[in-house]
Amino acid sequence: MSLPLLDLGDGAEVRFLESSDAPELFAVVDVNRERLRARMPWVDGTTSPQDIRAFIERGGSGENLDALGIYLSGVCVGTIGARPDVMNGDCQIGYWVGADHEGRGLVTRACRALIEHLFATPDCHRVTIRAAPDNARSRAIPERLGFRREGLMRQAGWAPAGGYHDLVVYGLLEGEWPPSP
Amino acid sequence: MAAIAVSDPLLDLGNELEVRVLQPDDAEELFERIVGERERLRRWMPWADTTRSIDDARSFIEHTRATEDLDGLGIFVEGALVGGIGLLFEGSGIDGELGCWVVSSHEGRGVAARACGGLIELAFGQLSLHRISVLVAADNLRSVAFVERLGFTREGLVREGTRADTGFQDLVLYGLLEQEWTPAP
Repeated sequence: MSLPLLDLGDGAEVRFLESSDAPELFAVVDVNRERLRARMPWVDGTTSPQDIRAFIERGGSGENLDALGIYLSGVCVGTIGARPDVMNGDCQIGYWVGADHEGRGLVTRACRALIEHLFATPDCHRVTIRAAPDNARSRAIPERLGFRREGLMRQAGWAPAGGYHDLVVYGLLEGEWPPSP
Repeated sequence: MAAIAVSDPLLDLGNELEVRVLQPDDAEELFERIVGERERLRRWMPWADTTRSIDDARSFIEHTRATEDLDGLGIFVEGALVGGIGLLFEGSGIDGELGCWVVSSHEGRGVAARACGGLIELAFGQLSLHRISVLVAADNLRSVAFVERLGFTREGLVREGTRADTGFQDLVLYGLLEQEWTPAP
């Protein structure tokens, strides 16, 4: 098992996902399938641990932070990822966590630690988060962390349950971090 | 390389105007165009300053050919490279970000509009995208007007979303939906 990339305290960690995590992560997707179908475009195409393994292997490791796992007491409960646009200095974060672990601030802690990590690298000047307008839990995370609402991308998202949906764009600049209490 | 059957040229737009997937052999010509336009491009395009040699141009072409995006396309008039155009696919699978530039000698002649129109047709047709996004530097008034003429709707302002010669710049976010697109007559 890889060393934690980010230690969130209280047994919570963010680590690079490894191929051996695929069965465990697939089980989390499967249990949360109906809920995720309203948000995530990839859910219906994820029908076996093999599909998760392919995602993990594409995400790579080291420089590429696209396939990270959120772990609680060593158990993978969701994912978080960052896609850097190095040329422009922008980095987009995405995340999801199983229903059992929602509403306890776990994803907010993971985002906060990931943002710290990104702003400590030379090529990240801003962080972007996009979320569906009716996804109150997801939107609460950038709002809590001091992001500003910058726009609304019309019908830029798609999910198997519900089809096309808008995305609210949130941005946070390096100079705005950390947010004042 | 994109997961579609890429024809050569990718788009034949008539009157000797073509859009082609750039080949490693195009690196020298691409580099010459960038050098010739560097002062103008570097105001808006971060890559104008980082492309310092033919090898840099070749690395860009090879990099784009290894991805699933259609990012490394060239605009050719009578066989000569006059600009670049590209489409980056978003994670949603239904949205693509369009970017385009042409050399000053071919500005104002409809070359960019026809190339963008052709790529938008391809995106909504063969590629089955639902929407196209464009990000334009807020003070690049010529490009802002160009994008609005194509029928895009302003959707937001991405603060300090790009880095250019004068520092970080705000980007205006534009979107165009499949059902909003009217092809040129």
